[in-house]
Amino acid sequence: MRIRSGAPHISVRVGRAIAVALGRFARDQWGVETAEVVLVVPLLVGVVWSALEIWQIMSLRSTVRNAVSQAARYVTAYASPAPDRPYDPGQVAWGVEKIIEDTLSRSRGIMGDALQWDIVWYHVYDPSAPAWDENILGYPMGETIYFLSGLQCNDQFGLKLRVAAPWRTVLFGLKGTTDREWVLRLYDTAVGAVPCTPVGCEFDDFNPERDITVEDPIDGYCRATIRWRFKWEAPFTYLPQHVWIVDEYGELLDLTTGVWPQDAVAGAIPGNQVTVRVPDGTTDVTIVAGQFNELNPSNSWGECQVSASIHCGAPEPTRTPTPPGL
Amino acid sequence: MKQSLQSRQKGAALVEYVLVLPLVLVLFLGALEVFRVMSIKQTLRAALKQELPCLTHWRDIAYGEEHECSIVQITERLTSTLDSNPFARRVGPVQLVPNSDEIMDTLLYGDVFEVIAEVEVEFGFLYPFEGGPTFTLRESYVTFVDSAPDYYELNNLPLDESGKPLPGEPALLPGAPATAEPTP
Repeated sequence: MRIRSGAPHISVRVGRAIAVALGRFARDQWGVETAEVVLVVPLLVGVVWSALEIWQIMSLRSTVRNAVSQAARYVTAYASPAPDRPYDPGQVAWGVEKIIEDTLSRSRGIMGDALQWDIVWYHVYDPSAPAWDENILGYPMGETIYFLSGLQCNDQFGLKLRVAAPWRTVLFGLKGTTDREWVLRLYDTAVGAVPCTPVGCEFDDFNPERDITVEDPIDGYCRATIRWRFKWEAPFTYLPQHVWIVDEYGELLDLTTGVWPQDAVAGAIPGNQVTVRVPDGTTDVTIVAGQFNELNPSNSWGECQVSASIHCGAPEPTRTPTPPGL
Repeated sequence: MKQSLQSRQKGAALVEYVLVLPLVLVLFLGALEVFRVMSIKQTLRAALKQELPCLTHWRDIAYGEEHECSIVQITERLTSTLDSNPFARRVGPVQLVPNSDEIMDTLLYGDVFEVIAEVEVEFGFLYPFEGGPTFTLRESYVTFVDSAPDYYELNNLPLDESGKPLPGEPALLPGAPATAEPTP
């Protein structure tokens, strides 16, 4: 039997060379240092990556808070019920959704399209009560229009924004997953109150007074001096700038402009007056303030008016009561 | 032989120290830089939030006059607020987007818009010399044009230059009659 001698197979030689190199490397100081660095680098990367992720999540948290606060402000700005002037709940819903959508999906937003969100509306029964759970009635996002169309003046409401971010997307920048365990959920709630549109005629302390004096007739007409006074006691932002004086047919006898307050906080407008000519006979005169949306958004002839009769000419015969039995 | 070994170890330690020192310095100064950036960013955010009422009440002329709400005035206030932060050195002026009254005037009641405040910042701790590299810090809010008395067709009080209601002067003083033609 002939034993074959000579150089070993090439694979064996390569393997031996690698083993020798590793052995020398492991015994060498540089090898040890390199191995340490290789071990430490992942730790350093992990620390830096975690810091970035914390920044990312905190930023997302702040974004959610901004979105819900601005959305709630939109409701208070445009869900403002007034008599005969309903607001458009569709517009309010549009504004709320656009604010949230834009805030979360901007390029400066965190996850952009990966984020999923919805909202929950709350009607707060008693805003003075500290309790929350037993003091609210919730409405899901699908009932937004229904909820918004039912808001009344001074209603308290809450708006919760729920944002779901795929956890893998947040942590590793990977595309989203449907696994519920891998979804990061963030919540924030804002509360607000529905404002009351100022309607002057609903103020109890806003009372026009009138004093009509008939002067001597000249040229077949009477001069009637009409005085009025608006007074108010509460702070009042909106005041009439025009006073209409009309006769019984609704014809304009005079239009007075610039009826401004002497004291915007509380006070009265003393001594406003106008002299009009009235024909012979009895004329019913009405003083109207704040119509045509100046004061009362209802644009109706509400209570911001007073009426009186002006008699010009010979005194009207006095009616004597008919004696009983005749 | 022993002395040679000691000198070799000292040399190795020195080499390690020289290698590690820049890394440690970068980490330390980088941490300070991050803190500085966070501080400037927070100041910019707070300042922009303070200006949101001006921006949202853009169509309320009386409010704008009372609170000096032109874009130039808002930008000046933002820059001034940023200057009050001691870390905000070597920071450029604040740029506001939208950056002009004309653009803002195109917004209507209820419009949703984004307002951005951005500022160029030079490195402070990592590169403590003038004219170094810069980066941009940006803060933004998505907000909307708030309602105003005009929206509800209500009168606003006439205001004087200081924004206070004008003293009322009845249109017709007592004794100053106005005559109207009677209805036949």
